[in-house]
Amino acid sequence: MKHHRTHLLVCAGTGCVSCGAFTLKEALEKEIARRGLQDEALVVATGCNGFCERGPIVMVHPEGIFYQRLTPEDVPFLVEEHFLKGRPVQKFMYVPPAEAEPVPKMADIDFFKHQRLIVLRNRGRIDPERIEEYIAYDGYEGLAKVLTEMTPEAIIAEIADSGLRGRGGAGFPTGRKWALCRQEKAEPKYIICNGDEGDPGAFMDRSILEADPHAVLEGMVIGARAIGAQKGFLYIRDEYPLAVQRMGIAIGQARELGLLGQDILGTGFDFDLEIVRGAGAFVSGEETALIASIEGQRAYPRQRPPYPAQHGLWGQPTVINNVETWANVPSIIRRGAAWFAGLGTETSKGTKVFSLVGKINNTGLVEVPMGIRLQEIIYGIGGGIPGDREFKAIQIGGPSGGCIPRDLLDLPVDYESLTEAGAMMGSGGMIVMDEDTCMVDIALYFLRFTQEESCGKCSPCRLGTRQMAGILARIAAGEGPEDDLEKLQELALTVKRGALCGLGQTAPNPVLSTLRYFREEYEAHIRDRRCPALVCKNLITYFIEPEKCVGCLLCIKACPVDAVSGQRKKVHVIDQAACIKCGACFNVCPSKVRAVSKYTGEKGRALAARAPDTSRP
Amino acid sequence: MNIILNGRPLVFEGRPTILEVAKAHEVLIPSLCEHPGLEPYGACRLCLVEIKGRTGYAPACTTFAEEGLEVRTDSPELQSLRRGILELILAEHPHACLICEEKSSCDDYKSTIRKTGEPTGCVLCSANGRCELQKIVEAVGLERIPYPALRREGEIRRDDPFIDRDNSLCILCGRCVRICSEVRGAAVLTFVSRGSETVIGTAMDRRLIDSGCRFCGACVDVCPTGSLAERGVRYELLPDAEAKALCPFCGQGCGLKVGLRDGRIIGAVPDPEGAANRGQACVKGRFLVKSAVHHPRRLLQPKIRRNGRLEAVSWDDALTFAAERLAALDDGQTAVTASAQSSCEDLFVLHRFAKEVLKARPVTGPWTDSAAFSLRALGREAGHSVPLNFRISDVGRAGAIVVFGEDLPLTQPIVGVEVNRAVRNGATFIHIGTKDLTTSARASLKVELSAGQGKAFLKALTVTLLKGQGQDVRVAGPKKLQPIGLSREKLLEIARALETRKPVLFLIGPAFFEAFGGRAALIELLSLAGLTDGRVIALDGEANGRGGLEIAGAFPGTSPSRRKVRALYLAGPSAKLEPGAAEFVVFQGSYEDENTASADVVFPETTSFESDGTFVNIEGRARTSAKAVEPQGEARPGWRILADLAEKTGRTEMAYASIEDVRKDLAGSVAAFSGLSTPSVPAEGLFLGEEPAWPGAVIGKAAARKAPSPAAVPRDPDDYKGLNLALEHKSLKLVRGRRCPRS
Repeated sequence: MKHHRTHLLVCAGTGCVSCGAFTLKEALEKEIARRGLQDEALVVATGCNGFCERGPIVMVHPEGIFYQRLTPEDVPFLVEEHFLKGRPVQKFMYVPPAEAEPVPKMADIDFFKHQRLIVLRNRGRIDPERIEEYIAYDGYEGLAKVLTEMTPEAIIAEIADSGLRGRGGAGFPTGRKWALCRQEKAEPKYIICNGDEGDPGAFMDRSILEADPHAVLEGMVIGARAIGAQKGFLYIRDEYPLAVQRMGIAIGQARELGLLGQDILGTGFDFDLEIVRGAGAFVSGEETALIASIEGQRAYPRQRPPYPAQHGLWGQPTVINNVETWANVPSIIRRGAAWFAGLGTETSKGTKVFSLVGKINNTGLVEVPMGIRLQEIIYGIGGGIPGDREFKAIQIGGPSGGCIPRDLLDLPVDYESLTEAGAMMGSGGMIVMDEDTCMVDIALYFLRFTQEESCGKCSPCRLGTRQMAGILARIAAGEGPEDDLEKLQELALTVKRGALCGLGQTAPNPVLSTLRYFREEYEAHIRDRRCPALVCKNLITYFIEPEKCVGCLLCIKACPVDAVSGQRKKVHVIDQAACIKCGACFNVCPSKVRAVSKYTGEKGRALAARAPDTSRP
Repeated sequence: MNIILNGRPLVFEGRPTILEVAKAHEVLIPSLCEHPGLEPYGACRLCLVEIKGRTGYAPACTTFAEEGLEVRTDSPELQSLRRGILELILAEHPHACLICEEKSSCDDYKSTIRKTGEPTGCVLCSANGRCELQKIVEAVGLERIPYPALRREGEIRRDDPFIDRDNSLCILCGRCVRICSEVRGAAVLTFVSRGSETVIGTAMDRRLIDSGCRFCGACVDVCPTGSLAERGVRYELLPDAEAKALCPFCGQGCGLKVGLRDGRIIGAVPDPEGAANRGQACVKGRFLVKSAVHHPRRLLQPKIRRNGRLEAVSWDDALTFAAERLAALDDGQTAVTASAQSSCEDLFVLHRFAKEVLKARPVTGPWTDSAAFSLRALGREAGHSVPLNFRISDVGRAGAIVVFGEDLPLTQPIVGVEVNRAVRNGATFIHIGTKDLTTSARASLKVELSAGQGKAFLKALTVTLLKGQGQDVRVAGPKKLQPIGLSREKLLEIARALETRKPVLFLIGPAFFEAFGGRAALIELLSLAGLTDGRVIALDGEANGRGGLEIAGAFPGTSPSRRKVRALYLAGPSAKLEPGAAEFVVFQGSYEDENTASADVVFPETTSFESDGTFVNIEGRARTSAKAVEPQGEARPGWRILADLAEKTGRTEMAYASIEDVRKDLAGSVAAFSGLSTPSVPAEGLFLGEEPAWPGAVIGKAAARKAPSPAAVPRDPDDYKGLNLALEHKSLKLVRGRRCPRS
């Protein structure tokens, strides 16, 4: 076997791939060959590093130098400088926000420094399409251990002792779920991996499947052994083609090596897996709906109990866990329950992967220990809010989560604290919002999402989300009557208490949490017909400040409806009746001029009503 | 066991849901999506209850009762939650009338307004008065709906026979979708789109008739609102009375609830308490009772031929005329034909009349062309008594079901429902036929044979089974099987199913005899049934085939007379008469048919809805169908006509005063009916002879001896007493996909 002096680990997660990782990889290989370095340096495609905002990313092993935002044009220079002359290239390195000096090593970058990797331990360091690399990092050791040294009861006890809870959102203790299923007499039993990640802006499961498919696979085989299943299904949404492809490769390789299929590792244990591709309904992520979908039925959830552990796929006992939960299992078996239980808080053990998006400097995927404060995630890892804006709220738990305000930044991230604060762990979406975000508008956005994605089976969710969205739209338009907030609150509680499945029961969370923490913002919309964040179109007025306007014609050219008039070097004026509030003028007005302003409330209405004044030069 | 509902202990047994317990004790828990016979669903959320010791709220329709469970339905939070959900439901359902202050007075004055096009309120809706949503709103009590009314887009679909669909009234309880697939196995209706856009529809938005619908009407019956409605109902008022009757249109004997208004039938729905059908029916029983009873081709007056023309006369004149002419004939010169759609009482009196008054040859009737007759005859020959009685509801408990070419949704829809239930419970359904049918779509194993290959196939199957049991049998050889085109693997698969899935049922009807060969195939089948401990079940098509068979058996024929037939007494429809077939023809029937014109006397007979009468269905269950409406015109029950005719000929021993007298006489004279002598026959009826055993007696290998070849003559399933419903009713014609030869 050839040994290369250095490895160039090109991130090939979906994020980096979409900004050209494969072209970059090709360019690197070509350049390295041209320079005759092919026996020295090896280019490897790895799974997602999580720092997607900086893609495409290349990590140089073993030094740990981190290059970001590379283009194929950068390649000749990079190869010459770093790999021929041995001088790492500063200009391709990461510079933290508000600092001047680049941070050369990955391990020193804030984004990575504060993370604690269990599930994502192999991200960015192995080629997910090669089982040998997974095995080289202790892969399938846990499987070998359970098959040769442990009874099913012992496996379940180990998982239960570790304190692992479902990472799909509800946080049900995994060990207890397995034990329930094991107790059931009915045969056959099934194992399902829920990879139908549907929250907007969340991509934890995708990255795990792309970066380390064998970890999920190994976890499932261990689970199958524990409950006594011989058949499993991986339900992956079809919007994740790379994940589906890599999982398919992983299954094929595992079968070839006897880690899947008949007589696994010669122990007489049979288990096989099949990939089911989901067709893209958000509700399919709900476990009973997902089971219906595998059965070929319409993805309608059904009332629990009975739980899938008793009555699941085709009426048989079934354990269904989320991708991240399965990916935790091999490490727990390998390193022991005590090790895992040593991480996190009293009730929430281990780590949790979050996708950190929105108004934040370091967008990406992070794995942090349970119990970490929100503050540390947002400022320590995320690098704070871009520009000169202030943090306003963080929305946690996907479209059914809640918005947590500034006052609660000290909140520890665990299942109970988040639920108590009106949000939820969910699958791990974190959307950071700054002061330019209107909370009414955000609630409306999420309600529109859940309304569209509601399956339509139970009446509170199908009808309630629609009415809630209606009321919110009315408030956002400044047309909400005084009693709308009470009505909204009551309706939200009706849906929360009455709905059949998790989707409906949590759909009102964005409304309830924003009502709880940002009530005055709602009241401003209703009473003063004012949008404090200057977002809700019906309540804002774009106005060109005559004293600032330089008459450059830019806004006139940008306006899609010809609502701005004026001549070169003369003050431009917006015809308020024609304005559609798209903000094009606001965006094009040069930053040193800043003549276009947004107003809301009394002043905005007064400006809107004022006759155009073109008398001034 | 008890649950405590709002502090009150309620007794229950078995494993009912909380809602079922409450219903049994007549405690109202509002619910819209639950329906007996459907699996728990939990979608409308109106039945949410609080259970002590559990967090949140649980739907009473999906939560099973447990000993000591403390349930509350009346806490203030729950009441407000229920009201909140109902308000949401009503926001998308035309609700103006529900919360209108003038509601009560309006109902009194606008009773026919619903002939209007689109219902925008209760008074305009065909379900007004029978709507479950209406009742629940009344029980919960709402004064206002705090949301803007949202009307669901879409036109009312009126492009199907029998059924109109109006999605604007739909509350998406899903009952129709579920009954269509869970119970009927048709899966025609489905949910379309998602979330608040969800509507009930069909695949590709086609018409029902193009989606495989058989128009059983089950969806209409379960619809809690007026969203799915019977076409004509808009033009009718609500029934003012209701009567229970047995459906006479096929051999299953469905219980129907007939709706009446001003003494006329306005519709019929399946009776949930019907012993054979348990709330299900088919297109005929559900939609065609009214048109069959009030059909323009009904015979309503007695007629006699005078001067070459049929003239309406009084009953007395007609009876006297017929009696005189018949009395003038010698013994054995009259031939009598009967119908298997007549009641037992009618047939019994007919047999007596033929034997004692006319001294005619034995009455001929279609029961000898039935599967039941063939089965019994062949069994007797082999020295076995083949059990004929069974329970349709037991079919759903079978482990394997073999159907021979019978198109169950058409000919035996309720048996079809049970086959579907068995399949859902995991039974293996094997369909052996000469063509692909809608029935076979659900079959787990299918064999397509050409006509006449039945014996070879069954033989091969028997041999496969015997070999499987380790017996040394000479194999029919793959060569012999070649013409069947059946692979060895498939044969083994079927044999394995018959070996492992118990009990095994073989369902045979006319299609078996028509397509698979008669006697030899039946012998093979009986031997196969013996080998698999299976049960052969005869499916015959006429309302009283079994009854006719038993009664005919009690009137054994004397040796056939060699004298020329001079007169015919046709009690019901028969084959078209040749001109000059007899000198004198009496026609006793309900509908004018092609033989009416050549009759010399026409006696108008009631249909089964206009008179009491006992019918024995395919199960062997004898039940009395009570009179639902007064006889139309001057029509009289068959037994009455014959008793009066006998009296006119001077015979007094048939002077029955009432149908009870006839029944008593029948019970005393025909052993199989002895049970009918008990004063109160239970509603579920009495089985002729013995109660059916489950899975039933084992039939040994039948020894072949010389006997007439068995046969069951296929009959048109849409024929009722000479009226062909499919030819006479435009909508059924569409459903059956036939053309009317007359038009």
